[in-house]
Amino acid sequence: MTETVGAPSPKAKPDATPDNGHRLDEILERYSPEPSSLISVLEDLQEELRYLPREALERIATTLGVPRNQMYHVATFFKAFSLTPQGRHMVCVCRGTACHVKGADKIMNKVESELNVREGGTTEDGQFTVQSVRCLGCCALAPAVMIDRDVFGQVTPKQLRNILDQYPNGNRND
Amino acid sequence: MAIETIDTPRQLATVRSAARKVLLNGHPRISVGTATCGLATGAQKVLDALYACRAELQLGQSPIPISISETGCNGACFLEPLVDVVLPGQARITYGNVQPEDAAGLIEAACAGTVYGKRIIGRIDKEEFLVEGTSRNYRRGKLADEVKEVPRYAALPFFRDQVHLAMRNCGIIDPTSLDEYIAKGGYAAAAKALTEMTPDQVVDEVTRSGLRGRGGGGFPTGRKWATCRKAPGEPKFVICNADEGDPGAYMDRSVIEGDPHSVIEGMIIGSYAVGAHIGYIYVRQEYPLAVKRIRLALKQAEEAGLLGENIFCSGHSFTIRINRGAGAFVCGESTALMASLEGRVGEPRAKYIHTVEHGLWNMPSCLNNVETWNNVPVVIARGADWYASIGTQGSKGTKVFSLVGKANRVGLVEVPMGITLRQVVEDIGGGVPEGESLKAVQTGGPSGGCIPAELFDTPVDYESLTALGSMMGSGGMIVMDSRTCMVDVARYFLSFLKEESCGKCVPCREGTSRMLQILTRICEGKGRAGDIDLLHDIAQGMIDGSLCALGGSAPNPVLSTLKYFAEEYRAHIEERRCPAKVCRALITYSINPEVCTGCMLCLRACPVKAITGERKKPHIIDKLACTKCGLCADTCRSNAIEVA
Amino acid sequence: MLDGLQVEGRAGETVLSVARRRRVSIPTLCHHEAVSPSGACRLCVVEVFWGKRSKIVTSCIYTPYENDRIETNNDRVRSVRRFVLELLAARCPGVDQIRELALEYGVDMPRFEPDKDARNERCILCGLCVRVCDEVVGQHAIAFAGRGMERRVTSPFAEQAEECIGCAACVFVCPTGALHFEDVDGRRLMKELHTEVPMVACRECGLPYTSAKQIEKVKSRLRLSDEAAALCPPCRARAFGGRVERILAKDRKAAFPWEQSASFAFESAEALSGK
Repeated sequence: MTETVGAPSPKAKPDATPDNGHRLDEILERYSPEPSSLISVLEDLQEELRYLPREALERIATTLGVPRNQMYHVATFFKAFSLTPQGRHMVCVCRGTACHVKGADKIMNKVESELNVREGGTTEDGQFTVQSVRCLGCCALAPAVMIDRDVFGQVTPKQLRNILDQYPNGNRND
Repeated sequence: MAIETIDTPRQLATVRSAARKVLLNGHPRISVGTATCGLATGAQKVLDALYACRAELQLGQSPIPISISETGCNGACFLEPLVDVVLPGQARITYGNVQPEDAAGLIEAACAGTVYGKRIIGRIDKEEFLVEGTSRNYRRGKLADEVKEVPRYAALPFFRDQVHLAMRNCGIIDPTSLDEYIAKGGYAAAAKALTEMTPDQVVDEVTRSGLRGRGGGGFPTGRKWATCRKAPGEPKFVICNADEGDPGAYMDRSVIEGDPHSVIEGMIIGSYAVGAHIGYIYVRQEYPLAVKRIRLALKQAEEAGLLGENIFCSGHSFTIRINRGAGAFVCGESTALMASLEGRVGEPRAKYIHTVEHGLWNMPSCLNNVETWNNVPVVIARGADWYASIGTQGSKGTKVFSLVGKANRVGLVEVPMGITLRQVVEDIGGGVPEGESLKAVQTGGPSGGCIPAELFDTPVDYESLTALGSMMGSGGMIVMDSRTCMVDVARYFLSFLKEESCGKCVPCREGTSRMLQILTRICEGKGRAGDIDLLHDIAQGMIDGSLCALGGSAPNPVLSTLKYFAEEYRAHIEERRCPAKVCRALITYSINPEVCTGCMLCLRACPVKAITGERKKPHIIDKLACTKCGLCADTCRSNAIEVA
Repeated sequence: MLDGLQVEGRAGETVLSVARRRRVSIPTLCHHEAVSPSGACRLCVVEVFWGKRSKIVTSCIYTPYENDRIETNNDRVRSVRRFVLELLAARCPGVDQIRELALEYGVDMPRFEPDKDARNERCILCGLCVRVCDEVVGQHAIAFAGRGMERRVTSPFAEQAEECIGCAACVFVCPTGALHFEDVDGRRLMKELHTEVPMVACRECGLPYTSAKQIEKVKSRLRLSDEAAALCPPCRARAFGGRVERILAKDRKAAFPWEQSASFAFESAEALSGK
């Protein structure tokens, strides 16, 4: 079965709504109901809701014929998945080798101090989740930061405030 | 141009001529590099500005025959945003560091057939058709003087020694256009393989070419295919490993973003050779644009009949599915990747039983890296002998490297195997910035090692790099200068590996953690006598005892830095000193009162308020509060901040 | 060749199996005959030589080729085992089995600092519990979670696992005693799995000896009548004069392949029918 072409909408909806069941239906319809679809389904759901609600995981396990223990291991093994809600915007500071050598530590420090949150955490207002990623593949533009799907290269600590300010309550354009 | 189905080689040829006519239609063509790096430097704004300028110019008039399109990355990432302009009858001119303000000038110059005066990088005189071994000069008649003044690529130090096989189309064609791919000779190799060769002949050709796996293993590709072909069992699978987990490496991303059809074509040929009808492309989820590009290419290939039933009426059928990774470096390991495709966690298994015989769902599976698949059409189209004429005895062909870090010219470089590290780092990369000295280069990602500058006359090939204690790996080449602490580099890699260890086997799970503990202590100035021996012991235990290559090669960064930079370890342990002034616990920041102008910029920049002082009076850093983040030094305009 | 002696293995037989048949001792931790091999602990490693080359392999998985020469206890092999045991002793300083085995390999004091909570850590992540529950009992109630040093054994979502039937096969198969169960007020508490399973009492003597779910499971695999199922094994033996036990003995391999580590209820049944 060929996967439906075209990625799901990049604009993740901000809050979990009672609509989740319907969205999960849509996602499950994209893939054949077998264990090998597990990771694709989880990824699409993570992208939609910015986390994996427990009820959704249980339903996915049943629908795809995956035992719950396997589903739970997969959901907790991969860094892309979160069982707790994440911020509206994902701030991913690249910690690849080139970025490290060009001062990714400083960038992460500055992000943490600007947003008042530690790496891995979510800001109190639920706007930003800060993570490190290895790597974005923009090594020539080290140090790099990706917010949602926008990549910023050759970032200096000074620029960070401006970059973060581009993401107020809504999404930045594109 | 609507894509009709291409059912025979003859139809492919027809599409090719038509598409080539469009490509060489004598109109100015502008292409903007909009791969991930291009976009990150502002290429979208440049593209938008170009469209806008063109629209403005043609208000009320007939459409201006300037085509504007997007393209991938030609490797000169340090010059992005890059814009290429094909001046009909003249040449292809590359412009770098292009800004939106340049758009008007570029459009006008293209209309007039002249060279835009700013941002000039270089020129190419021919449109290459590498898979056919032919080329077509852009020049018709005399070359304008101003064009002659633009240096040829062959004269530019960055490009001079490069040979673009894998990157043959990157930065040249529009990756969203199947027509352009075909115009450059794409899918002709697949047609040749499926209609003029037997599967055994294909395997033989790939074997004789000497092509080796470009993902890091360097295993002879032909041999892998031969074993898979002979393996009993159906269905068989071909898999493309596009997980590219090595931090600092982005060759595969660029190939997929710049030339996705090349991977599909390679897999069609491979599937025919081994007898597989289903293929998987496993792309890292951290590459959203690459996922988008390959999905589109797949759709195009299917609609054109290049994938699916009875390709080229050869009787061979083949479809491809795309799966994304989910943030696990270990899934770059072939058995872990296959587990992940099966919907399980990415835990490797013992490879006493080879995946070519028992892989995905226990069936024969042929897994190769993106760059390997991309090279296959070249091998089939130009032949094994031609391919084997490039490179060295043991390492044929070219390799794409991501030359990054502290080099002056960073980007993707594709060079023939056998070129020396010095040529790559100094000639192509331009060495390190003024005031610093070249120290080492790190190759092979977290499984590789650091090679000191004294050994840079080593040729770049599989065996030579391994002999030095590093490895070719997927192609990451990170340049380090005197301000890089090699102990910190080892610690960095261990912290990466510790997070990425799947945790199944004891040596890797516990070993990476213990190694990291020791290295962290050393970097904090708490190193002890006996630490080095302990590191060696752990290293040997992990090499011998680990279940997979992640654990087995995890000690390499430590071992190679211990071998070549023992002095730095000694300084950290015995003197509590970091020679490169990187390890925060071992350095102090202070303000030189004689240089400080009292401007208060650093005061404001300090995130922990460790600096005090008044206007126009020298400031002071409170050493106890200081976190050594270095933000003050970045802000200071008078160079008053010293690190000791 | 096994340690210099010419041996023959059956088709597809592992080195470990051959070694055990030949009474050559190879230590294991994550291995058990009842479940598939894992190759996780690396303790059972041996060195295989062929031609001029050699490699370290886990004997629980590796099936030898003709002309392989295998050494089960040379310096390199012992070195790997010592390394594994040193790491495990540092991880779980409170587990005697590990400490004793480590001492045999010359590890007196691990050279690594134990973590704060290491005294209480008993799990070596061998996965035997997960595999027994998956492959033998078929309930899939136990989950691995996380990766690397975060890897742990738990129940899905660290909450009550409805799949658990309280058979305690996991407790019995655990090599380090990291899992426990406690029967309190007619409920079996599987502590580390955050799960409790209500037991049913023997109709005759009132001992809560099994859970309703477990009885259902056993009945689905054996021809066990309702009357027999309602009694605990000692009462059952008295009531049916050993007939049930003979049935159990015949179907035993199919129903209770984890024989050596069966729930205590079935252990007593075996004791009774052993005669």
